[in-house]
Amino acid sequence: MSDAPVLQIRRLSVEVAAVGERPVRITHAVDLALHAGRTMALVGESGCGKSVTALAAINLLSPPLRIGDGEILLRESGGDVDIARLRPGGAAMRSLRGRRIGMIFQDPMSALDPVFPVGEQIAEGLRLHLGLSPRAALERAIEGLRLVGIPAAEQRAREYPFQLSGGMRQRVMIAIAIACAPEVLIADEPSTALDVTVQAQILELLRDLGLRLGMATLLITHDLGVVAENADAVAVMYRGFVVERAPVEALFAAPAHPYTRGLLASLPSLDGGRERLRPISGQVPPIGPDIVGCPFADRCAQAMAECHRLMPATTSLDGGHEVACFLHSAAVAVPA
Amino acid sequence: MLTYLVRRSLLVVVTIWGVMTILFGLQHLSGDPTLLLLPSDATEEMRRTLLHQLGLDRSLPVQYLAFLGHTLTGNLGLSWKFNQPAFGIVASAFPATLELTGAALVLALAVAIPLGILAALHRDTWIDTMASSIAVLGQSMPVYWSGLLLILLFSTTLRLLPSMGAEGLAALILPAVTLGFNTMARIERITRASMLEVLGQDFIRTIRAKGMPEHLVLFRHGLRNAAVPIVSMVGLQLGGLLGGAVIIETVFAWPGVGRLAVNAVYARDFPLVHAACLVVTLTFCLVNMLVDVLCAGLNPQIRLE
Amino acid sequence: MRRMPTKALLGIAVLAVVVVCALLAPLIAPYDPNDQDILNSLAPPLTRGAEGGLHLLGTDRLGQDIMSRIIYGTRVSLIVAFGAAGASALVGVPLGLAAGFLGRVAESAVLVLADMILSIPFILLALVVMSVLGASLFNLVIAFAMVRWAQFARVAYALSLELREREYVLACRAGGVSMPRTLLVHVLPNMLGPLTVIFTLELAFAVLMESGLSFLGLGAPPETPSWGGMLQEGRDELDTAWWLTAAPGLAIMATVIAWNFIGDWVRDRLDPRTQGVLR
Repeated sequence: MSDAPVLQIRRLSVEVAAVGERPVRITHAVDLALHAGRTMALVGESGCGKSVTALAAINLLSPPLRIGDGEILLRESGGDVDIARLRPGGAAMRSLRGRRIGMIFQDPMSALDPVFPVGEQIAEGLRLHLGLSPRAALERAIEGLRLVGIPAAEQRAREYPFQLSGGMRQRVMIAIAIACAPEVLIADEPSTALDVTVQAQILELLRDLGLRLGMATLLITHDLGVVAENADAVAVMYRGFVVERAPVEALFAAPAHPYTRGLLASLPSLDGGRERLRPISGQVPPIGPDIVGCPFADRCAQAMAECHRLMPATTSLDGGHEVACFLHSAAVAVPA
Repeated sequence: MLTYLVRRSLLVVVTIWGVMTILFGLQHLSGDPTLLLLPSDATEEMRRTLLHQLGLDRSLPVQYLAFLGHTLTGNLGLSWKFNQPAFGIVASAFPATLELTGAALVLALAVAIPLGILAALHRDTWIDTMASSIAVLGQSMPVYWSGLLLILLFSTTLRLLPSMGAEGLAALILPAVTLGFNTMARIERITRASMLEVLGQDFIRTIRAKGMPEHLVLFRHGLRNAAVPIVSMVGLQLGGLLGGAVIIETVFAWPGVGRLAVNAVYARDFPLVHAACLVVTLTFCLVNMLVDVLCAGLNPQIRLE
Repeated sequence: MRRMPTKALLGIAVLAVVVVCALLAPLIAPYDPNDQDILNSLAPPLTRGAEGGLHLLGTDRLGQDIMSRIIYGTRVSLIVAFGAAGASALVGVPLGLAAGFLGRVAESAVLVLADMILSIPFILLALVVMSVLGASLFNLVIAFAMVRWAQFARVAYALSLELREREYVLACRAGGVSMPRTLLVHVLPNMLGPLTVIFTLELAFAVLMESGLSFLGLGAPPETPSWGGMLQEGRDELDTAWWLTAAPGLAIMATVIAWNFIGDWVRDRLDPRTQGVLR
């Protein structure tokens, strides 16, 4: 089995293009590669651009957001298709969504249609993409509910979202997303809106399904704990840039970028004694004019002169560990 | 759902009773009807006889109870002007009013809903502005004024459509359009607002992420969710439609209950006024209840309780 | 001060004109509205008058100047509109508050009564009331208040439901503040926003309904110039004297639009959270 990535995001940027104004880039040159059966986590604070990247990957950005430069390559037998070049509302893109790429959203309360029973919401996609008859689709839907761990699936399929708990609704969302056995699954903060006890169950379910169905999973989260437990590889985002990318053990063992180090250091430790929390000083600046130099420079304790002037290029350390920081290499990024 | 139905039915009964009581009270406030009904040279004895015939010489509580009792048995008295059963007169005029309001409602919906959806989809474009302007006009033009203007244009000047009576379908057009204009405006506004609200919700994004084609997103999911406020507004508008019918029927000489009621009021023909008000209110309550039940049915949360 | 949207400015401008006309009618109107000039009856707009004046909008069947009647008509409009809306509010808001704050019995009584009254198409009830009471401006206001208080009561009740769980209300009760004082000083001021919106909508409704009743002959007394009454007169001469219909109709429409725009503006300026109640 080739280890070529199922979905490859190359130098993708997303811009805000309000009518009559200059487009403003909010993510820059993002590189991500998703492999079958493995989970890549995209982690960062609120506003760093991770959700927007997830939406871009499925070409579901609504105006004024739109895809800028870059490619989103989905592996196909006849050659890769560049999602970024497809019309968002076009038939080609729609046939990919739900069929080959599934997406789960953060808030299951508001993400399900209140007036249709949950079984029907799963079956709808099956009828659309696989051309199943209504009865066959409903049966598959019930099986899907079983697959995501919902008991009494046949009865549940007839119920409405308001009759289910938060955890169950999220399972329904997962069932909808994987109904057509997609190759890629994008999960945008799937557990954030849930109770703590349910969070772990949902994440475990996702991991399990990913392995069983051989899906390439992109897991968006702001929680490093979630990353540690559920991901194979991690990409760290800050202000629209991917600043570090590594296999998960390598990231936690030897974080290379000062931002990553700051994130890890600011986590309170469960085993140690009482200690002061060590936050990263400063705040994430708002989206504004183009950034000059390294985006983290003004908060970085180890910033050097060139950090404020030039953007560092992404360099490889060993073992698939990449970082964009002048501490590790003097290479400069070529402006996009 | 059952308790809801029971409660609503009770409300209808109470409303009817209330209307009857109010009308009864108003009638007896208006003084002695015999003065109007008899020629001015009538003798005192003739007056007393008439009073007795009309049952107006009994004490007030007795009259009230008799009145209630009669109504329950369907006897709404004799019209003082026509000397025929009031209920019968109203009943024969009722289909005309139904026809008029029904046509007005259908026309209003047929224009308002597509227009509202279009306005929502093309928000802030010229389509939206145009829909907005039409809505403003519809909500502020007095119904008899637009009626008169339409008569001026289509009947008098262009001689295309009749302005009076109920002969044939052509005669229905002007009154129905005039009557429906206001309702159309309000339903267009709520359709637009409701669609915009629904289309901005999270689950629409989920549906698009499933790869659903846009027409299914709009109609199967969007409109279905937007329906409840729209149906609700239709219910609220029914009173306006019936009230408007009163004026429209007068302007266009349409032989319905509204015109009957107005003429009865002019003539101080209280049994007829009672009958007309009662029938109109009962219709309004029943249709309203239907609409409320429909709304409740559309909302799975209420339906399943 | 934030720039007001055009619509609101337009509304206020129209209203200003109406108010000025109402207040200064004797000074502004070119003719006495009841001044009959039979020789010049049904004269089209811009006809010279008997004493050399100009009938800007023509004359009616009795030779009365339309323009002047329109100007004097603003008085009827404003008096009835504010009287009706004001009286309805005065009766309805306390009842709505009572329903919200004074327990189950008050709640049921007020709500059932309000629902009942609002179930009757207004014009029908107003017709009957006016025929009993007789045509006068005062009676018009009574007729409106008798019915439309229910609208204010409903809104005040819904607002009460929302406000009575607020902490400052609970704090008042806990601190021993009497109910009337709590309502007057703490609750009512917080309701003023949505109530103002309803008030302006009622003003628009009153203008429309009053002119409708006058049109049917059961509104303003016949001698008083009122827009609805003028439309009724114009109905018979529709094909020969279109100006009898156009002018008052435009006046009514402009006023109603103005009130609607102002109401929209007030609604938009309020906290969006309260807008659910106004639907």
